[in-house]
Amino acid sequence: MRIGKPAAFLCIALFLSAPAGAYQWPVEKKTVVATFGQSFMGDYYRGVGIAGKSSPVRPIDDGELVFYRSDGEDPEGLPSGLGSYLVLEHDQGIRSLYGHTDLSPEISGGSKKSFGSGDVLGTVGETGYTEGARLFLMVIDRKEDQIVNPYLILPPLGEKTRPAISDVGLSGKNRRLRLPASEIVEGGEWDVSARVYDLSPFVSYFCPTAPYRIAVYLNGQTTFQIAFDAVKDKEGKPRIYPSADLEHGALYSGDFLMKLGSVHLKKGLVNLEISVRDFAGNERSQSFQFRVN
Amino acid sequence: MKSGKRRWYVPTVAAAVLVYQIVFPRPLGRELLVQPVWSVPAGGAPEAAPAGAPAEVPEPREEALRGYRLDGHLGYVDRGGSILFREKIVHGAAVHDDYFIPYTSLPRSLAVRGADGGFLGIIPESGYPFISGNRLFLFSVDGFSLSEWTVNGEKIWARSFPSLITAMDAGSETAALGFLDGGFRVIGKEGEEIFSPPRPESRHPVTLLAGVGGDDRFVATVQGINPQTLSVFERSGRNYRLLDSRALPSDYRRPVKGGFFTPGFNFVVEQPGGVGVFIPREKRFTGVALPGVLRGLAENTDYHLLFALTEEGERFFLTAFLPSGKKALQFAFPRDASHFIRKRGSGLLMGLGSRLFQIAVRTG
Repeated sequence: MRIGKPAAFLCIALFLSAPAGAYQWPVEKKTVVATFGQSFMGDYYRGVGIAGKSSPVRPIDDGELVFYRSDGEDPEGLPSGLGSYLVLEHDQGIRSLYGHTDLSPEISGGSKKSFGSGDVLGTVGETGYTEGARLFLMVIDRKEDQIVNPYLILPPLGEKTRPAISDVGLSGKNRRLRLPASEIVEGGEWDVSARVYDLSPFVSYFCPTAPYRIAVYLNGQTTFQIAFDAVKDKEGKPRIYPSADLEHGALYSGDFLMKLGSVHLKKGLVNLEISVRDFAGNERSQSFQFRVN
Repeated sequence: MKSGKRRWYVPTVAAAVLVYQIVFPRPLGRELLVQPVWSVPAGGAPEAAPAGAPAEVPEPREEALRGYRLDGHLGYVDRGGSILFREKIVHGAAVHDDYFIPYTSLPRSLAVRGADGGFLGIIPESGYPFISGNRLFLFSVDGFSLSEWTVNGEKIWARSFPSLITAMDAGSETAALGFLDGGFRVIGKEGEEIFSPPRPESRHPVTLLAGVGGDDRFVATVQGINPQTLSVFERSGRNYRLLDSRALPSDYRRPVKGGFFTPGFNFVVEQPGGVGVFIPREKRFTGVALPGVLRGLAENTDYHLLFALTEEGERFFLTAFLPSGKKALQFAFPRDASHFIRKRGSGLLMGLGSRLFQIAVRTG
């Protein structure tokens, strides 16, 4: 059965209503350097990336081992950008995947199959496609066939860094107009784009990550909104779900340069606002007033 | 009269025995022999065949060059044991008999090079190369997408899947894929989906092995946890029909070794304490007990023999067995972390430590 949007909203609402402490972060120091929904190798990043060389990795909840792969164990085996990884299944068909993890001997030796939240699964490693030691955590909702933003089920990080908005512009009529506009804008259909990102507060270097929710308002009316809740496959393409039905190429035109829908500009003074919020609730908005003829 | 009968009786019996021997000759005293033809250091000049190796050992009837990965190097060896090309593997490499593709830990574009090291083409995308069924594939970095390429760097097709790919095998026209969500798909030459059977009932769906028979006639998969199920399908026109489905005693949580072997397209699957052999023609599944953990499988098509390389403690065992499960021979040698056994062909190529071994099978 194909899930309808209301059902998906309900499902995500159930995630959000999970009691605090139901799941735990897999590492003690939560140095998040990549977040769900950001552009990665021409696709959506479907998890969170957490730096921390050799940090012990623990399950997000009690679970049973359903799959693991040890990097380099079988030279004839399938290659993987996740390097050494394992997958646990928890209650309600929720699965957690721990990528770039140097597996504990209990896992690679096949001696243990059930894990409590205090058990060590391995340590944060560097196998696979990763620049430095980084844990990749993916959360899969098996019953709904979707990959869920881990932030929806993990305890909040409580960080205070606000997202950033830059390079806002209107594209159409064979040109791109950067806002604020210094000229009167011609009426009609325009595509809105902007560079939007959240900055990781956990590292000292410039480390842009995806925000959680982006909305565009024209004269107070919502023209576009997206929330990075889940990725679901539709017709062979992963799409942000359920708030938008967008595949990667329809949202991103650069690493953090996003296509934020279209607006129909009518004659007169208009107000275009872009509002961005991260998962911790930090928000930033930018408004532009300009005249349309 | 009696003496006349006796007179004819002896020559008649002798003639009958003679005729029987001619029509049904018995290979009295003949047994299978596995003998090294040559052994060479993987990085050095060829050496003479070991003392005692018979001069009349038949040479393998197969391709002149064979690619290998051993001891941190890739290389090409000819049928006489001469190493014609050798190169250190920096991070990883996919090796075919005609070409190879080295890659780094962050493969952003890939150079395809010939068996002599010469440049053949560039794959201008990020991903990990995988060669199966004489075809060149590229796994996306996230493991959700697959594409097929020519050695000159032309993309033939690309596809994205809803779940992480956990198993794959390819024939000349089809490829079988297994997924983390327990799915199993057979795709065609352009990546189009041909067949996707319902997942067998299990507590935790996951696909651990996917196999394609050499002529694309059969596909097989091992799926699920509790129970773990082997399913074998046979092609019927454009579709496939279920040939056999059975619960296995295994409880693996990792990729399972196995595949189809010719002739007879017997499907061999790793099992606790050995392997299982499914013979499609007879729909029969036979267990073969082996020492230790399975490290590799190979075959000898001349004698319908299967070979299993297993590891137990500090020793490797090479066991030859018939698809019926009958063991033909077994011998042990010291274990080495660097090893391989060549899957296909009539001559057996093995690597151990830093040496290559060409092994022949004959009767004597």
